[in-house]
Amino acid sequence: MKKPILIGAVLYDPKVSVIWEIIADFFSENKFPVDVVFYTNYELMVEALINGHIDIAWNSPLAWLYSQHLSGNSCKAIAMRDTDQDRISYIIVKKEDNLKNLSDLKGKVIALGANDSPQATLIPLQHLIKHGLTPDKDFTYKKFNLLEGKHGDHIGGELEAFKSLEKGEVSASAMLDLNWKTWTSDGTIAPDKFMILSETDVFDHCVFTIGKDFNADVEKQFLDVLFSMTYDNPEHKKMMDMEGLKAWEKGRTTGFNPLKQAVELLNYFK
Amino acid sequence: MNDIAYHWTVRVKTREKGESICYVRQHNFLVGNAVSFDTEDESISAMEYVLGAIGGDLISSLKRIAKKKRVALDMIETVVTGELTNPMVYLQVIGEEGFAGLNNVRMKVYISSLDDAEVIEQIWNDALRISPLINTFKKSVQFSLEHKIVF
Repeated sequence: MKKPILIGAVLYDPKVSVIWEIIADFFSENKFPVDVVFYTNYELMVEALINGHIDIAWNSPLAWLYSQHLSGNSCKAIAMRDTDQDRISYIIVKKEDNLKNLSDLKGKVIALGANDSPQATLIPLQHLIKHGLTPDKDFTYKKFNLLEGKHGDHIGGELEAFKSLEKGEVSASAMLDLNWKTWTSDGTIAPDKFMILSETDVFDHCVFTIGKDFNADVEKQFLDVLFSMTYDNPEHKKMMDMEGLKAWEKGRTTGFNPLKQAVELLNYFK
Repeated sequence: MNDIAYHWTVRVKTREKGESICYVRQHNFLVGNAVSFDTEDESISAMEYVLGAIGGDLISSLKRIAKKKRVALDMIETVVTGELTNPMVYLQVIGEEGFAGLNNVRMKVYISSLDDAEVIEQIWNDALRISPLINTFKKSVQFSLEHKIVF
């Protein structure tokens, strides 16, 4: 039997294991056996990738940067979901507060997600700094640091940040565009009471990452199988719906610049 | 073991797709995974059987006592919810530690009867005293039991 490729993934919810079971079964059916190794946080998984304990890591954007940080920029981004590309985070405010632009947040408190959430903490902070607002000087923030280590995959912190805005404890909160869309559709957010004050630059989200020594032929075989998954196949559709994608795309690194700037500005890896 | 102990035996063996088949006297039933996180899982997990058995245990005890007291219980329904202490341990997540077993079981029981509430209360208390599974699990799992008499 062919030796299985080891894929690392972080579980923020036991339900996510179902997604990986479907992916692993699909790869086995296509004569490319994979074993999925679950980690409790991204730091452990990235270190396992760099130390060669796993072959491929399903990285958050921050985990991608951490991989590059530890490997001396020698990792490779090979595939991502279509929905990982060109994401935006929003700064949300109450309509009744009559805030018109970012400078109106001076002297205010902004609610953010987990310490390590790219979408609800790091990129929004980078966005505010880029627009001339210095944290702890021009504004203060309140973090909702749920499940640190999972890089905000668990969107509970983001939701708690919004609830804090709803209760009037803060003047603004940060969230991913996809969550704004979901929460304004399902009644979590009343769209007539809240508005988008500002949008961050577009950024990319999760990405399959390999180390520099990963065999190029094996990489090609892995991608061939991955890209053969289609939304038209009912079994694939189930997994794709759970994981929030319609198609797998080639990996790219151009979308990690806003987060890279945030990490540098905030000395995150120091 | 004392002289009046009684035992039951079931035989369980592997079947395809990770299922087991359980033979019980002239019956058999299939058991899926130990626990399942897939809401569309076609199999019933061992955990779901256990929760069903706990509910059935209490309902059957209530009915048995009511019958002996000649009290009519028209309908009994319960919702049983079990919560694992750390499901990530079962999933072998690296970096997770802790207890893989149940942390608590919650049951809400609705008893429909036209009889006096006092009589139903007595049946309820007697059922809790004699139910084999409830009394077994209560030793290791935190139980939250509620009942409501409805008409």
